[in-house]
Amino acid sequence: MQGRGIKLSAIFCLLIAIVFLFPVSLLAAGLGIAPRELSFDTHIGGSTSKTLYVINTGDSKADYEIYVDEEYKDWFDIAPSEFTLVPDEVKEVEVIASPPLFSRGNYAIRLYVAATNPSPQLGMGAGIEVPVHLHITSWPLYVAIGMVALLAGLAAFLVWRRRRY
Amino acid sequence: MSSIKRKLALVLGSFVLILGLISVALPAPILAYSNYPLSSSDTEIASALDYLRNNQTIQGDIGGFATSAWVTMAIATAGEDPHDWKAGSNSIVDYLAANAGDATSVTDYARMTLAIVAADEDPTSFGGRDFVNLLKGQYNSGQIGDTSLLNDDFWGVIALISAGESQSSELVANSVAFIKANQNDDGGWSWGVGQGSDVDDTACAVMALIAARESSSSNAITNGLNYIKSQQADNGGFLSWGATNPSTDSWAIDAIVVAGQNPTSSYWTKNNNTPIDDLLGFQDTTDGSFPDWQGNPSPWITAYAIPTLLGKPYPVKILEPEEGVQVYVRIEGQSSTIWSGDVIVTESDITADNSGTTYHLSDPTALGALDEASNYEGRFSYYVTDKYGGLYAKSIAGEQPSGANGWMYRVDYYSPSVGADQFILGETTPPVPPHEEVLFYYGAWTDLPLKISVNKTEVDVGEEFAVTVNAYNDTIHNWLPCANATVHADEDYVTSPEGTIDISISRDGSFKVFAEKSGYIRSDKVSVKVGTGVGSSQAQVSLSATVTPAISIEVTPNSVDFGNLAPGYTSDAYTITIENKGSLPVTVTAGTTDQAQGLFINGLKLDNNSWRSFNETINVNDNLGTQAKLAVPLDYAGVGTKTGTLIFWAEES
Repeated sequence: MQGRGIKLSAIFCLLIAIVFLFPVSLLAAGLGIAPRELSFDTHIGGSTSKTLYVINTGDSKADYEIYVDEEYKDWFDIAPSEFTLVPDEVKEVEVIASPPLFSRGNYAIRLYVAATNPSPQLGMGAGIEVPVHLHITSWPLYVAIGMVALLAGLAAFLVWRRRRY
Repeated sequence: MSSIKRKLALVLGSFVLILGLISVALPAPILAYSNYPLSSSDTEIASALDYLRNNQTIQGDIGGFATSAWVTMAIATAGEDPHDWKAGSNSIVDYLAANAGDATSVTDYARMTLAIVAADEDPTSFGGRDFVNLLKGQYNSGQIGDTSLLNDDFWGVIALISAGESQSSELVANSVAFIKANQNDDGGWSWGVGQGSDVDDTACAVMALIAARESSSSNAITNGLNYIKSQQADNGGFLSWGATNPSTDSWAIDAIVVAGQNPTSSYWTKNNNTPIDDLLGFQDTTDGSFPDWQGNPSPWITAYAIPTLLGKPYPVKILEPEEGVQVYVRIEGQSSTIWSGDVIVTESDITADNSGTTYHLSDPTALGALDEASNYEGRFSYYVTDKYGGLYAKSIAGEQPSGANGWMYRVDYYSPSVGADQFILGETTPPVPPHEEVLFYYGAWTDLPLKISVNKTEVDVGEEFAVTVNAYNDTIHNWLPCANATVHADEDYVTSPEGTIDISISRDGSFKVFAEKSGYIRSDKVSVKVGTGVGSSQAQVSLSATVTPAISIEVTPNSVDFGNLAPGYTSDAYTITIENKGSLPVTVTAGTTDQAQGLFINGLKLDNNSWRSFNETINVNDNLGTQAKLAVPLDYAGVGTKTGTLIFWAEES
């Protein structure tokens, strides 16, 4: 708080010195995330979600943006994907993986969390690349195909028997 | 005319002439200023306001960020609208809003809150920030901000009360107790705990206490004013480091006024000089300014003097305490109580985390109570979704739904048939209003609340006391004895078929007693004091820890201005520091974007190399400095201020 009279003259002079000696803002941009990686196990046609925590570890308000590799952007819903945090504020982000049909297999994807400060100059930002492991099984599809084949076979057998007698 | 008459006329004329000459030649006698408080039309105020107005920049600020807040308060006390104080298109209020992010400390938040309220703006939503919650978030250990400082408590209390915080709230009451507990024996206060008294801080303490409804005749205020009086100099002003100055005079006079006394009264007149005389003696009558400690004209000090001369101490404006419904909120998590306490619920703006949509709940709702609770000390985060129609608190404090278990709520133990966002406190039935308690709990929808009671809350060591545990019955909507419930005290006990257990504790201590049972909701806690109440035998140990994020980096500074550069020139080098604040080593690379026709993408160098080649590993708690330069290509065609972003990307090594 300002206004402690003459007794603050030394501090004031120091502040003046700091302001004029350093032509840059000394505020820091920062972020932290947990967990360190996200692993999704799902099946074709299914979806699953994980929670990612983002914290502003800097000492100024910052804008945050979260996104995945461009080629997989339709596979994920991220809520919220853009937000602003004040220092030490934590945001709980829900990441939902909904892979498309016929995408069976293991995927190594990157999720990006970027913190930037609006700046009239060159703004400094901090970013973290989060490994995302996506394991998609296809058993529900195979089971469905098998069930259909079994039912079709059963129906054909019944027709064959009825015609035989 | 006779010669006698002519001589008499000559003598009289000479006498009058001499008197006139004397009156012109001698300075006017200094008279005690009795016209207090001044009005905004008085020359002293009008000229001070003119001085401030003449110092407004095109950005709207007057004297910079902090001073602009004080000036905003001064403008408001003069009966003018700070929104009308413009240079170009930017008002001083616009400037404060645009730079709200610059506030980073408790006193920044307090000063901004005071200015925002003075400007008739909303301190909970100004420049994208909620300054009231920022201030409340600094409350810890029964005080505001740093436990070794007092000035952050003075201004924190003044600002919160200005923003409408109730004087009886736990936060204000405890902070006031902290301030009073740190009054020095000489009646004064200091800026820090255990430090010597000074007039400035004593004045602030008096303003804070009276804002919190401390009686002006109380010992604390009387002793505080006595200390200020003891520091009054013969010129009427108040001593600070051996001399008077307009800043100290202003705050001392504010304290006198806020205590209901007149600074021009005989009590406050010394050697025929009042504090107002000394303060006005500092004003430069040519431009209306008041000087800083170096004697230079100062918008800052002028902004202090104006409210003082107008008789309007801090806070210059107070919002009415919020009206609403007060309820007790308790949040029972899977293994412990997450939060409990009283909140006042009015309307709420709640943003669904899944969609980003903000919903305005115009009534005090059960969900609004949860939202309010999340803003109090010991705050917790919660995740709300609108995926299922209304707003639903899907997770609280990170506890996620699993299977049939999730977050549910009850009001006065009754399970309402509407969502928490639809339950209007004091209105919705059943249960019948007034509603007293909102309970959010993690469990199954079949889980029933437990209630615990004791027949004594203070016992001697070894003395028996009876504990009764009841469970709520959703069919009869009443309480029934709960057998086989576990009662936690100094150790665990189990209730009888009648739902009771007699306990005796053989050591001193203060024990939180509560009940749990599978399929039931944990009871609230009751305190039982055994013996002196002091002891280390508490069955439960409070645990806390701060968990470091797995991956975390910090980049300092958050922006760089390379200054004025021409094509073909390279800027000076600026050091950028990257610190690994996480719990794992990281590898850091750089990425750049610009809105500058490739200026930064092509011209930015880190350690004299293209930013593209930056690739460094930083260990935990270690940091790395890199030298950033900007080389403007010779054929670069752009002019003017150019912007861009440099992001340092970290990934686990």
